[in-house]
Amino acid sequence: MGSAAPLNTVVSRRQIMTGAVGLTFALALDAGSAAVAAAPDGDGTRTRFSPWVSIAPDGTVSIMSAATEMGQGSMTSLPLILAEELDADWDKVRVEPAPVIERIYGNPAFGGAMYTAGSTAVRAYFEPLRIFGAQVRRVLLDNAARRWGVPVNELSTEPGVVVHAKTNRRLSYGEIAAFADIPATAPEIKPEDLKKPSEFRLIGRDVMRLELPTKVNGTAIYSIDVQVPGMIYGAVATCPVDGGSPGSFDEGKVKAMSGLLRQCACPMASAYSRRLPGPHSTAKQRSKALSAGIALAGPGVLIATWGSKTLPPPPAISVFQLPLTGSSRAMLKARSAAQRLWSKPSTAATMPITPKWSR
Amino acid sequence: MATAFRINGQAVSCDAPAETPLLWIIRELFKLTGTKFGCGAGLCGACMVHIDGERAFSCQTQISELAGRAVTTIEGLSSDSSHPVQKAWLAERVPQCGYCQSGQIMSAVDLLKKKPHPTRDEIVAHMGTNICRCGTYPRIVRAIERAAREA
Repeated sequence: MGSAAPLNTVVSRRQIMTGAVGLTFALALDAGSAAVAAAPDGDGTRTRFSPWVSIAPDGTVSIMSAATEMGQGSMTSLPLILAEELDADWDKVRVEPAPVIERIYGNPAFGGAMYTAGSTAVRAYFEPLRIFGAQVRRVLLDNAARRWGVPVNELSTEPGVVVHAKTNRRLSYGEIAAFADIPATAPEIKPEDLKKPSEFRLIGRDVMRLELPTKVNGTAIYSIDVQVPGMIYGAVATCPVDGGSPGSFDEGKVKAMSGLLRQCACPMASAYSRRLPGPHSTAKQRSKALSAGIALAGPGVLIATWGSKTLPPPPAISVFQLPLTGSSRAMLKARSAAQRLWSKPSTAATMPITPKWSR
Repeated sequence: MATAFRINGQAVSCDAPAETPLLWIIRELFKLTGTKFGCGAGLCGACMVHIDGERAFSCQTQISELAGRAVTTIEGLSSDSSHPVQKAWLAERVPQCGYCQSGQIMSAVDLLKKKPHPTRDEIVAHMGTNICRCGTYPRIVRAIERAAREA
């Protein structure tokens, strides 16, 4: 969702803090490794504490989200887990999609591949993210202790602030970020260093999914919304039912479409049709074949166009040949499905790909 | 021949071929990508917009039908997501993947305009034009009921 921060490939050695030893998805990295150097560092005003966390002087905490947001809430839940142990002020957390660097951001449930599936993200990243959050919190505490000249065990945190209760002194995470000295290797965090569930401020609380507001006003960006200069558009006009293959189409009419670059027949496929269940198949097999066929049936006509001011309408001219042979019930069902889809009598062996254009 | 109409209050003119679907004009020409392409056949509702205040499938509306008319897209519903339906949508956390939701919201707004206090059955019947593959229907119904209450 949204745009990623620009990549900054210049990263100094001391800015790198690697993950905890023993976690397969955040191995101790060479400080100069290209993979780490490619990790985003925002606009350069932020201090990067680890490949997961950067903090700006104004206290904005940027956290990487390594899973793909598909509406399941990962871009909120994963950073929230890290923010919990970091004791970050959630209102000041900004989430960024992690770049594709599997050694750092990979999903432990899939051997370290950056793969979001199977309801694994929260379970698999839970412990590592807590540790990464706790590491950054520890670095902030160490820096505050040095600045004030007090033992680190006298310090505590409130969301976004390090507190020295004895002297009633406070330093915000943003203030510390401005002078922080970041160790080359991550501080060790033991399980007992992590919060007890009773101490959670964020986990278990109902928070607004971060991307949700963009989904009620049209600003959420999906892959279909991405437009780049010079892009061309391609479309495959496929037969709406399985078993159909391209019949005749009026090449001249297609060629006359404005902006058309190229057309070609795509004979990819009757692979699926050949696997159509036979007359003795079960009703379940047939219905599965039918629905898959509608979604996947390959044979078609590819029309590629330039995106331009004069947009060609889809070709209302491609004609698909429906097989007339065979009497399996699947075929009959396909025929009647086609009839319903296109509101055309199925006695004809051909049907137009675009049934109607007026409302 | 150029067609003059309005999009979200702005006067626009467009010289695309007469049969070009409004959806393509909205998305490609005016870069209003909140309105989605779903089926291209008036079956799913992802492309729903308002024309002269009433909902319409933008994939089934040709540019030639638009002369002098006013189109509203999801972006034109409010400048700050403050429309009661948008607020109810957030309060009920309706969207999952969100792809169909612009169309759902435009249909819901159309319903409440015609019938400020619809019954549950009326909501379900009216919203039958819009498909949600994530299955957010129960939340859609709740959000429309909430918007009717709170508007």
